[in-house]
Amino acid sequence: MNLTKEKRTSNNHELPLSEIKHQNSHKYQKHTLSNITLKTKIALIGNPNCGKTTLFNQLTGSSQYVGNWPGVTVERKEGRLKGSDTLIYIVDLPGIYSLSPYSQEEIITRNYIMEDKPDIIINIVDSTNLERNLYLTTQLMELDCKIVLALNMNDILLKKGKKIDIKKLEDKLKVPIVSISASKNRGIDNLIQKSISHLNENKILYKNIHIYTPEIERTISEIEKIISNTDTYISEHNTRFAAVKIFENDPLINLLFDNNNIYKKQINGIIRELPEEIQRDTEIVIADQRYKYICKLCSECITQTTESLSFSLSRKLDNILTGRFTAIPIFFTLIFSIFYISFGPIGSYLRYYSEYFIITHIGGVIGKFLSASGASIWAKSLVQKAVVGGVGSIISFLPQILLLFTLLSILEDSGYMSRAAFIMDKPLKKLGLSGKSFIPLLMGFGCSVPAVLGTRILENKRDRELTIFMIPFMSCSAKTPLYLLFASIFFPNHQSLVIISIYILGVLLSIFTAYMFRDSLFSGKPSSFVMELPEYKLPSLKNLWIHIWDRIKDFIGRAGTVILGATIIIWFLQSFDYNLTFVSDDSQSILSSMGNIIAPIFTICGFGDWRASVSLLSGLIAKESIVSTMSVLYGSSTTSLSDALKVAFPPFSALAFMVFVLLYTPCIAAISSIHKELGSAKLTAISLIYQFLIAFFASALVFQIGTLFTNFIR
Amino acid sequence: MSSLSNLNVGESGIVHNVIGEGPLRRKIIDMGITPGVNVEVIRSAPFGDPIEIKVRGYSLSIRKSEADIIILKSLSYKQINRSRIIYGSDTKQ
Repeated sequence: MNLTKEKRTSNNHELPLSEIKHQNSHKYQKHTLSNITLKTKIALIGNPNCGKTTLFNQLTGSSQYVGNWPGVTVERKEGRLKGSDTLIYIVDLPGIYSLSPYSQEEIITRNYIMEDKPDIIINIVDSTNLERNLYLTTQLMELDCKIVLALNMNDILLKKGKKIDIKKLEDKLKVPIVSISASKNRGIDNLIQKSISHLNENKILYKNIHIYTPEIERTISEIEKIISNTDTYISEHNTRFAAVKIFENDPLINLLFDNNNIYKKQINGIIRELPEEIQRDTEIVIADQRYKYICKLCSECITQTTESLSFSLSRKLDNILTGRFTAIPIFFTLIFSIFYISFGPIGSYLRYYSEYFIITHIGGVIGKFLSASGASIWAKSLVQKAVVGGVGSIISFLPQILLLFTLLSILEDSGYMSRAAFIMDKPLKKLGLSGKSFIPLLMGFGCSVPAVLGTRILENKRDRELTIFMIPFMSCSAKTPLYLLFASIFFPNHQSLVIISIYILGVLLSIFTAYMFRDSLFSGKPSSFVMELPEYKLPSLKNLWIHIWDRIKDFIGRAGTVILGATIIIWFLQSFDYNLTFVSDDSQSILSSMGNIIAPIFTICGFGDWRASVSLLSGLIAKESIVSTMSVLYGSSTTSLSDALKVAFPPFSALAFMVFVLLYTPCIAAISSIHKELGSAKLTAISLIYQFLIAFFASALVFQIGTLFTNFIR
Repeated sequence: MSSLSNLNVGESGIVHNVIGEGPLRRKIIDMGITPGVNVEVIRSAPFGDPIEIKVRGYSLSIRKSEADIIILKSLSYKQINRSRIIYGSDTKQ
């Protein structure tokens, strides 16, 4: 992918839309030689919710590889065609409604077709939504790339009493059409066969299809002629596509003509010959004529065979799920159930069992092996404490996260998530966000890692960044053990009240964050909320499994690298003193002396004890570690943890400590997810420093005001 | 000239034009809201905004402020009179 190289040095990892443009016409010559290529590339293009993912999964199975398109945080999926001897690769392009020049997904698709030149496009079309889906098809047909149409969900259409005359449609569009059912795995072999045979044909018949009125068609041909005289990279290929876009006043294609003012003038001259009302708004003329053509096509090829139901199932479900009085209670019940399952008894059990399994069983086996092989003390400590203990405790909450993730994926695949966004849009709009941010924010209460990942559904970069900044303030479930411990010791009669207040404080501060940053750091176009509400459907297990497997791979990948690295560093600091001798007493270690150095900072917050600082440091690995570290550092054989803490934390400092834990920098796993999704080290650093400062000031405030208050009373 | 945001739940209208320029207008047009198409307001969200509309056989959610740029054809004088005859002259139109 050729994205302008100069921009890579900018701090902002994502390129502004105007910069994602093509250059280098010589790149094309390289590609024409590639007709002799060894591998065939098939591009999968279609609307969101048309079954594209399902088709992709059926075609590639588990061979798919998920990455990012260069320069942007849009997911890129590629995989090898299952069961084929030749090397056929399928690239899944983002779901798009059109090839307009405004959203990243659309630009990526355009660039991919024009630059990377796939061998063939499979345009998957939702039969139950044919008009809108064909709008994209008409645009794809204007490109210089072979296309096969995959008509999906034909069976559902039949149930609605409608039938598409595929042969007639094929004759009119001159594009090969195959009827498939991606979810039922039907027609897919047929689709591939037809695609391959079409690949070997030389002609592209649909290039000559006239969609527009004769005067517009004439204008387009004239623009095409002018373009072919220029020396831009569109002069040979995709001229019709470019001509239509120029006619529509497309800003990106116009960029290509920066140096070609004579041609621009010529083209403007041709357009000025058209009637006034067409000239005035060429963009809508094209869209309007496309849809008129499509409507005519549909009326000729779709017939109503039986009586259709007056209200679809989706409409009936929505009457309840988005009804004025029922929507919100149902929504919160669903969300609460998901969280209760993931973080209540079932989830916790999964967690404790995994932890037990990893640390005791696997750790035990490894430990025996190490002892038997005579490994040194520090090696044993490294493996057992850092690798098994540290990384193991993080992997042990993988099942819980996956459970949350699965439940939320089911909700999303079923179509409910868009309703959730629909319900929550108005309140979120006041924060400068849209309803789509609600789900990632909510997920933050479970764990920041999938929450931050979930911000990918936000198309607007500004929304994504702002939401990511807000997520850490949604108190993640790993912090709960600390709250429970402290609440039971210091506020035994008001436990629930205190804990709920902590959560609410987190939410208030995330709202504060939104107000603080939305105009300064993230000024930009606010997002729109024009969003399809797809029909409800039963989630496919296969899709779910592949989705989960992707997440597992990602999580383990990160656990194995970043988290392992960080854990080993902290282990090292905890196990050695400045002379680099191994110590078994933590208080002699480098970490504790670091804790002693940092500790005075927190005097103002009321917990200037080195043990508190070290516990907070250990919270960088995983928030649960705070409690476990505290039990190691404070507890001893004579005093219980509760008594020791009661002594160590004066009044209000316990509350201040809880506030600090709520707000400060998240764990390494979260930090690495945030960095990955923000794509910018600078923004990540700002986020982390900001959280630390807020945590510091808030807890200092709590302690100082609380102490003043008690002194005042006395 | 009324816009889509003026329609009440259950009402429908025919699009006359989509005004303005830029990404929002483009998105609305791309989603099938072009001159001549019929749009019907199905419901509004519990907090009052956004609204769900039916267009070209599928459901779309859109904020009322965004729906402002979708201008509908106003009913002709003849059509207003016809509905007065059917529903009585105190019909709100």
